Amino acid sequence: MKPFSYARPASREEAVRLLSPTARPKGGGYDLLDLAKNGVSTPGTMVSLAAVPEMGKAWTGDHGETYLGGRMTLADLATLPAVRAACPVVADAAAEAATPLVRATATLAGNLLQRPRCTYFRDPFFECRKRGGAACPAMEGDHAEGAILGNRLCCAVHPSNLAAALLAAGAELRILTGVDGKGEPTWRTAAVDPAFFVAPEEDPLREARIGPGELVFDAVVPPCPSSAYVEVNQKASFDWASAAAAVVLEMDGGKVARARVALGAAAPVPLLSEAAAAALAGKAPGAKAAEAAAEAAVAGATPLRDNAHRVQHLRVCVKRAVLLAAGRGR
Amino acid sequence: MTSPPTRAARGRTVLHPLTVNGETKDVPFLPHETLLEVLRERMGLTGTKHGCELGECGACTVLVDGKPVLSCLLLALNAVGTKVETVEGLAEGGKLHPLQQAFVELGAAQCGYCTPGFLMTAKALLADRPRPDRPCLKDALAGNLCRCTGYLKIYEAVELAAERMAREKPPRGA
Repeated sequence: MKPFSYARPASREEAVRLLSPTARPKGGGYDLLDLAKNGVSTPGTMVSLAAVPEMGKAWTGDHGETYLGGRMTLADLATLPAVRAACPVVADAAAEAATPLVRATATLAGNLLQRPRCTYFRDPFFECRKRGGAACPAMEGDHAEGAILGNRLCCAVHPSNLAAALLAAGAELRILTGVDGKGEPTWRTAAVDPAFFVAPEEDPLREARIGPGELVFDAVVPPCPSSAYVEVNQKASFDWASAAAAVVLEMDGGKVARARVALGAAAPVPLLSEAAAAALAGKAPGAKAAEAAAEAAVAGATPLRDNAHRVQHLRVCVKRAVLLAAGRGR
Repeated sequence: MTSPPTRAARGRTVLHPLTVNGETKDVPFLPHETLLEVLRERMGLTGTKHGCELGECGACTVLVDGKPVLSCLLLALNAVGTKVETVEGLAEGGKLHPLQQAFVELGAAQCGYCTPGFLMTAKALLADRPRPDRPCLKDALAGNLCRCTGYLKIYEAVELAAERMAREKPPRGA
């Protein structure tokens, strides 16, 4: 790794004052250190959030919403009974990530904002659009693990389980914004909706609308007991998803009043499938409706030479997630 | 216990107190050095293995305040003020830890490169769940990879060690 400086602020305000384009917040540090070791990017300063205690907690608001601290570990998200009861889609997504060793340290904000895991992006030997290059070598090269939707310019899939889960849940981020180290930090909120994510067509160099001086303090998740996240992997443990679906159902008398279906590991950004949601609306969420939603989710897929299998994987994820979410709503 | 430093300047080697296997030493290291690098290259504790370096293989697992942690992805600065345990700290008074003994007896170590990581993860598991069933055991060890693929022997060795440890230390009320 290239050398960097280190800071360990004692409060969220002090932390955000230290942030800059070259000073990055460090929760678990998995992706930051991976990127530095790969030679993709090394911040001038790692700003450790280890001493900002309120960022590591979850609590319930007055309207049943769950506040999830940005530095909460995936292990806590996966296992805390309050999180599993209020928003199982989040608990599922955290539980599916990586391994127990990684989950014990990796954080909500780090998982949400991690950079793509595409081999070409992670290896500076290759030209890559996501590092400012003119082309995507994966298009002609190894793209078996590449995107099947939205893959015209870049076929790196968005790697975050939690991004899909928070998108389906209609979560909101509370973000602390610095002012170039001067003045008092201010708060802003950002809905985790399609506009939060940045597709390669708009700007290939980033995946989310978060500024360099900003800190994801927490995520506020509305109650969504009828929800589920399901992914398909090639290996039983520690494998990046081949496809993933996060589904949140609002039920009314045994029928789906409203659904949100987010597709993960399918495109360079997580996608909200309006077509899949429409296929579920007004229907009893049984196998037939789940299959219709799955078919709608993959309509328009543009698989590449070597990744057509991921279309079927995505179908399976959507169907299973719908049925699992429906079962939890009963 | 020492408080972790609040600032460290790039490229500047500073002495920091690290508590490893019960002994606290001032160790010189740079802000960007990982705990794995400091253990192996600054402290000569080469039992902890350098595998993928990207958090994928588990060969570098150590315990930090009793929890298994991938030392390749932990800055050594983040270990200041904690209690670090490595494989060198397992044996006591020349006697192997029951996990080590079981690994020897059942041939759970083949090339041996992954063994220190497995031992540390297993130690944390047994501290938390003294008699884990097989699914629980497999789940806990899922982040430790064995390229020799000797998983079955490893599971059996952890179960044997768990049985012996439970016999040595019966549960409260027994």
